Amino acid sequence: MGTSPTLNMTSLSGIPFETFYNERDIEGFDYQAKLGDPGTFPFTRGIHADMYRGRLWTMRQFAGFGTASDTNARFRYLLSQGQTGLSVAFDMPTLMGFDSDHPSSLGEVGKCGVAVDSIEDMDELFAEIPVGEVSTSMTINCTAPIVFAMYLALAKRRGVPLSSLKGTLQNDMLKEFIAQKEWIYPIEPSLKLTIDIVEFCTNHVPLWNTISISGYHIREAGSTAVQELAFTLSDGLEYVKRAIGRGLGVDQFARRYSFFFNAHIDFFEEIAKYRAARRIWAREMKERYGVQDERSLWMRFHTQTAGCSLTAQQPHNNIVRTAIEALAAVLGGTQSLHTNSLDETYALPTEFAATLALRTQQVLAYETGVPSTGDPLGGSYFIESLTDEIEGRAMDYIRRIDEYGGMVPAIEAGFPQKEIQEAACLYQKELNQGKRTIVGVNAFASDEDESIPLLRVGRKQQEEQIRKVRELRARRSNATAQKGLDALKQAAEQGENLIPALVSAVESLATLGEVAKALQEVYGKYREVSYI
Amino acid sequence: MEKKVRLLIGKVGLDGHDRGVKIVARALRDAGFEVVYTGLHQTPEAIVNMAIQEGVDAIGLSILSGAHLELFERVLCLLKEKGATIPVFGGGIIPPEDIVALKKMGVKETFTPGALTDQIVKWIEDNIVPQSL
Amino acid sequence: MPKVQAILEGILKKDALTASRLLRAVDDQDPKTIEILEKIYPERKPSQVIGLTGPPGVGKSTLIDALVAKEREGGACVGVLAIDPSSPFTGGALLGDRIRMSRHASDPDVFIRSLASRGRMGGLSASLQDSLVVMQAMGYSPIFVETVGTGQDEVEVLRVSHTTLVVLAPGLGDSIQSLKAGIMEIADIYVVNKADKDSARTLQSEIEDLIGMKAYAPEDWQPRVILTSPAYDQGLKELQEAIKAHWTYLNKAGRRRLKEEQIAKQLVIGRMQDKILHLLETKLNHLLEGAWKDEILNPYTMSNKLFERFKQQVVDET
Repeated sequence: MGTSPTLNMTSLSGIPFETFYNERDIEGFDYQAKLGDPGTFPFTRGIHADMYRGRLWTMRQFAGFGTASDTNARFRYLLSQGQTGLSVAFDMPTLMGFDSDHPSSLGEVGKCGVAVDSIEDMDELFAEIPVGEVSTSMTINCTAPIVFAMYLALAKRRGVPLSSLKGTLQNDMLKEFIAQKEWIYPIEPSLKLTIDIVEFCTNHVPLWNTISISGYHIREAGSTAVQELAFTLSDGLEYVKRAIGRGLGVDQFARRYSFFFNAHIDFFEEIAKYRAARRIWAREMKERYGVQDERSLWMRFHTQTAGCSLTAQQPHNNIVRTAIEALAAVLGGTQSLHTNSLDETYALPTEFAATLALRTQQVLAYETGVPSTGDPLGGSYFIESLTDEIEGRAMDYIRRIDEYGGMVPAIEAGFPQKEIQEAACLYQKELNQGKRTIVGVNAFASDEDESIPLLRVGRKQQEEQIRKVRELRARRSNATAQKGLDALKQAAEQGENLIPALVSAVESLATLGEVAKALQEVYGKYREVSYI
Repeated sequence: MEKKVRLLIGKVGLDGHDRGVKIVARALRDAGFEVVYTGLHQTPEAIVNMAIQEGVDAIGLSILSGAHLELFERVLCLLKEKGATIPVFGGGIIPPEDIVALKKMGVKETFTPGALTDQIVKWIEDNIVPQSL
Repeated sequence: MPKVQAILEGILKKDALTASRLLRAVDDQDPKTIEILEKIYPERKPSQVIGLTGPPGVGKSTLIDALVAKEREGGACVGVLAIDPSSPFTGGALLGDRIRMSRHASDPDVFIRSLASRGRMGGLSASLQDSLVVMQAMGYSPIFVETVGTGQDEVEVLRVSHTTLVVLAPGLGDSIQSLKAGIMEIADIYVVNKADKDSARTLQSEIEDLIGMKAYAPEDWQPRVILTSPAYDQGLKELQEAIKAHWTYLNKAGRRRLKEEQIAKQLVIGRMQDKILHLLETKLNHLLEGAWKDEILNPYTMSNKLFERFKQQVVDET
C-alpha cells in the first residue's frame, strides 16, 4: 500500500482524458440533431422542457429490514421527513422465492430487506399508508409477479381501484441473468412472467411502471459505464420486442418502461452516460419500433449512487462520495434518486445514516441552485465529446448483441457476463497496482479505528417472522390454499397470463414460497452459467 | 512434485453478488494456488461436502447478505460433525462486532469491502499449509 | 505400517475423508502412496470409466451433470474427475467444473473431484489414473472423466477410459473437417450436444458420413451418434443406454480384460516414464559433469555416444 496517489488519465470505461477540450473535439456539431432543447428529440438534454422547475426529482430512499412492521415504521418516518416516494427492499428469501422457515433462508430473514411471506405481511408493510396515493417502488425480480399479486390483492382488500395504483416494479430478469444472479426459472419462462406483468398493467394498472430496466446491478457487478449503458439498453430493446410479440402496441406500453442507472464516482463520465442513454433510446425506439407517441421515446430513469464505490475503511468519506455521485445524477437529469448511506459497507443503514443521505439530496435540491437550469453542462466541449464517445462505444456493444440475435442468445453464450467479469478484474488489477486511487484504501490509509454505530437486525425478528408464517399455515384453510396453487399451475401449463391466477393464489393465503415452488414444478429451474 | 495449496472458494447463502468472490478466486489462481470455485447459492451442507471431496486446505466463503453469523456457524458445525479440520475464512459486508463473534466461533480471518486481493493472498501464504497424508 | 491398513480400510468403506486425503497425496505424488495404490489396485470394482473430450464450450460439464442425475435416478453411486488446466507460469489453477454440477453438491453418493493438469499435456492430469484406481476401489460406478477441453489433441483420454465420448456442438466454428485428424477417430460414441440449436442435424450427418467411410467388422463396435440437449432433457436416456451398451459389448468375448490391459499398460508406461526420466536426468547430469574436459565440445557426438552405451546396457540386453 505504499503507492502514491495518482490522477486518473482515463475514465473508468478507459476513455482517455485530454488536457483540455476545444471546438475541434466537437467538429461539425449539429445542435438540433445531437441535443435539441430539453424536452425535444433526441432528448439528450432531458425529457422535460422545464426540467426540475416543473417537477423536482423524486427522493426515493430504498428501505426495508426485519419484519413488515419494522419496515412500516421506517416508511412512515421517511414520509414524515419529506421523502416523496416509497421504495421497498425485500430480504433474500423473499427475492429468491423461499418462505422464512425454509432451510435455505437460514440467517437471511429480514437481513437485507423486509421479509414478506404472505399477503398478510404485505398488509402490515403498508399499514396506515394509503396505497392509492403513495407511489411505491419494489425492488424485486424473479418473484416480482408474486409480490405484485400481493400488492394488487391488498388494493382490492382496501377497495382501492387498480387504475389508481402508482409505482414501479423492478421486474428485470435479463439483468439478473447478466449480473445480479437472483433467479428461479429458466430464461424463457422468466421473461414470460415479466411480460405478463407488462400486459396486465397495460390493461388494468395503467399508471404502474412495469419494468425498471436496470444498469445499476450490472455496474455493481463490475462493468464499465459503457457496458452498463449498452447492456441495459439492449435489455430494454428486448423487453420492447417481447411485449410487441405479445400483441401490445408499442405506444401502449413503452411509456411505462423506466430505467435505473448507477451513479459512480467518475463524475463527468456518469453525466455523459445519462445524456447518451436518452439519445440512444429515443433514436432506437423511433428507428426500430416506429414509435409515434413522444412519451414512448422518453428515457425516464431512477438513479442510485454506487454502493461499490463505498469503502469500509474511513466510512465517513462515503458521505462525500455519495454527494458527488448524487450531483452527477442530477446534472444528468435523473427522475428519481436514492443516495446511499455511509454505513452500507457494514450493514443496512441506521436511521441517522439514512436521514443524512436524504439530507444530501435536500441540500442539492434546495441550496445549490443546480436544479434550476436544465442540462447546465450542455455545450461543454468536454461533456459533448464524452457523450459522443460513450454513445459510440455503447452502440458497438449493442450491435454485437444484435449479432448474437438479441440479449437472450448473448446471455446464453455468456457474452455480457464475460465482458463484465473482465472489466471487474481489470479494475481490481489497477487498484492493486496503484494505477487507480481510492482514498483510505490504497492511499491516505490510516490505522485509526473510525468506528460508527450500526443497525442490528436481531435473531428475534427472524424468529418472529418464522413464527408468523407457521402460524398462518396452521390457521388458514390448507384446502383453499392448495386449490389456489393448483389453479395457478394449470394456468401456467396452459400458457395464460398468470397475474389473475397469482392474485387468487395469494388471496387464498398461499405463501410466497409455495407459489414460487408451484411455478417451479411447471417451469423448472435455471442452472448457473458461470464464467470465472 | 511440490505440494500446492488447494482452496475451496465459494458463495454460501442466497445472495448472488459474485463480483468479489470471482476476483478473489482469480487472484488466488494467479498467486499459484489451486482454487475450486463452487458457484452461487450453495448451502452449508454442500460447501462442507465439496470441501471434503476436494481435499482442500482451506475454505473461503463470501456472504454479502448479512447472514454471515448463522451460515458460518453452520459450516463450522458441519465440519466438526464430519471430523474435518479445514480452516475457514470469509469476506463480505460484516460489521466489526460480528468479526469478533466470527473469530470467536472459529473463523480464521475475515475481509471486508475495500480489501485488496494482495492482502488475501498474503494471509493465505502466511497461514495455510498444504495437508499431507 | 498400520496407517496403510487404516487407509485401505477407509477406502473400502468409502470413507470420504480418507479418500479425500489419499487423492490429495496421489495428486501431490507423495511417494507414500505407491504402497497404498499397490494394495488398493486389486480391490477395484468393475466400474466403467467414461471419458469425455471435445472442444471448449460444447457443454461437457453440463452433460456430465445430466448423466449423473440419470444415474442417480437408478441409484448408482457416481464418480466424476474433472480436469482443468494449470497455469504454466504460476502453477495455479481455477477449477470451475463443479459450478455446472451444482445440484449434486450435497449428495454424498456423487463423488466429484476437480484436478489441475499440473503440467500434463493431452487434456489429462498426471494423477488421473491413480485417482481412478482409488475411486474404482471405493466402488463408484460409473466414473466420468472430463478432459481439459482445449481442443483437438486430447486423444489421451482414450487410453484411460473404457468408453470414450467425443462431445461436439453445432455452431462452434470448428468444422469437423478440421477436427477429424485426431479427436474424430477415438470415439465410441459421438455426442452432438445443444441439439436444440438449428444446425445440430447437419453436424450429425457430417459425423455419420465420417463414420461411414470406415469399415467395421460385424462383431466390432460401430460408433454411434447421439443428439442431446440437457436443458430440455433430450437424448439423455438414449445416451445413457448407448454408454451401457458399450459396457455390455466390452464385457463380452474378453474385451474388457483386453481394454484393461491397455489401460494398465498406459499406467505402467506413465509411471515408468516419470521415474526413468527422472533417473536418466540425474544420471546424465552426473555423466556430463566434466565430460568435455578432454574432448571437443560437441553435443551431437556426445549424445550419440551416450545413447549407444545406454542401448547396449539397458535395451539390447532385454
